[in-house]
Amino acid sequence: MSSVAVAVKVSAGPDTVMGVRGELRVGADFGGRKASPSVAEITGSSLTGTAGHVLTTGGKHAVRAVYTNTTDRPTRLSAVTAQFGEKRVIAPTRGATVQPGESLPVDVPIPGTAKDGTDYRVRFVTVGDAVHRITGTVSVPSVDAITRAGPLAQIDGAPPAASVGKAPGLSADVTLAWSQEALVVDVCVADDVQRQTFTGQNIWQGDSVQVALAPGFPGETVSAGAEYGAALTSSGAESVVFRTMDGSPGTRTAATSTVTRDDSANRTRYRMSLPWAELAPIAADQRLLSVSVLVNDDDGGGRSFLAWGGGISHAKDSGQYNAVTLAD
Amino acid sequence: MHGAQVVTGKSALRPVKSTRSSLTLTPAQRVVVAQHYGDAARAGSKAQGYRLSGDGANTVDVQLYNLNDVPMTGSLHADADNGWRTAIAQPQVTIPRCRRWPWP
Repeated sequence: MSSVAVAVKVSAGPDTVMGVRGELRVGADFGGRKASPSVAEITGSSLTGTAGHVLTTGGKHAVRAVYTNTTDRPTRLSAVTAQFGEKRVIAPTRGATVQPGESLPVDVPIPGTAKDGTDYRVRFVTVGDAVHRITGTVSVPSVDAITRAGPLAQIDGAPPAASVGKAPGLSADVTLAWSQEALVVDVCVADDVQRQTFTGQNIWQGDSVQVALAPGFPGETVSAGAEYGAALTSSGAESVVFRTMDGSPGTRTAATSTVTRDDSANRTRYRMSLPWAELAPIAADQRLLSVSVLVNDDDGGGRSFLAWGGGISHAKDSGQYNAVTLAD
Repeated sequence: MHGAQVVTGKSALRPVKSTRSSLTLTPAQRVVVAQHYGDAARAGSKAQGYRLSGDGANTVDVQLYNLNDVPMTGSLHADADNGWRTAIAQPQVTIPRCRRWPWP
């Protein structure tokens, strides 16, 4: 079989929307007869612009659109507009000038009409330059469907964010807290039998905790995000990363955990510290994220579990995680 | 055969019937066009499509395979939706004839 290679250049035009799937079709014509075309799905991503759901310092829901000047000269950002369904919102930029390599975040308020799964489009308009478009989805759950993570300094004695399980042999309280360095997940498990015979990536088969995290609120990303685990193994408290934020199998992690067992009280406490530096694109200043917790239990008859949220034990699905905000 | 498994009753597998296709491919249809993407573009492509940069030109390698025993000369064309622009520096191509495997 003989072949030749041809390079096809593909570049975004003024109407290209980042994050939207399209098709690239390549065909060939031989004397008026056509070869079967090759069709591939393509999606654009841009260093020039990113956008994601955040809570502003005033506690309002917004899309934070970040413009990065990828050119070699100063660029003036004349406007940022966003379309949420039928509603158009304009965020003031006051003609801000962005130096080469620098970024300018602009918070675009999410209108009250935006509910679960509202698609939005953000436009960056730069003077004398192209219009940059990106797209995304926002979900704004009701207040009572959002779990609050308080400051780390207040975690001891704070009421649990959630309690799962009612059986006398297994139940758990989940408490979330945060600092500028990490998200802290505290799980206090009431378990009559503490049993963990595995280590490393296999700890999920014994008594352990799994925590999954994704950017934005549930349903805003197709990514399942990252997944961590902690257990009291034969060598002591062990932290593992099952999956990193880019979907790769985990190897090393900067996450730490303490796990203590009180046999007289039949309680095991897991406290996991998950550094933001390892959770990008999640960042503390976004003040929101999606979290799910699984408590694994094996009393010798095989693994069972309790879940706060879903998306861990069966399909890996961040749409089933819990909406969490970082509160002062 | 391993073990003592005994199969009784009707097999779920149906016998394969030999069929003869009457489809005749044109010489142009015996040219296969295939797009190839690098590792960075392929990451997450099953869920989201091949990832291209919106900040500059992307190069997609297109391979044309000739299954004919004569050289094929023609032209390549590309188009995309969502506002993507395409360009081919040298759309005219000649693909050498398919070389038969030199059986002894």
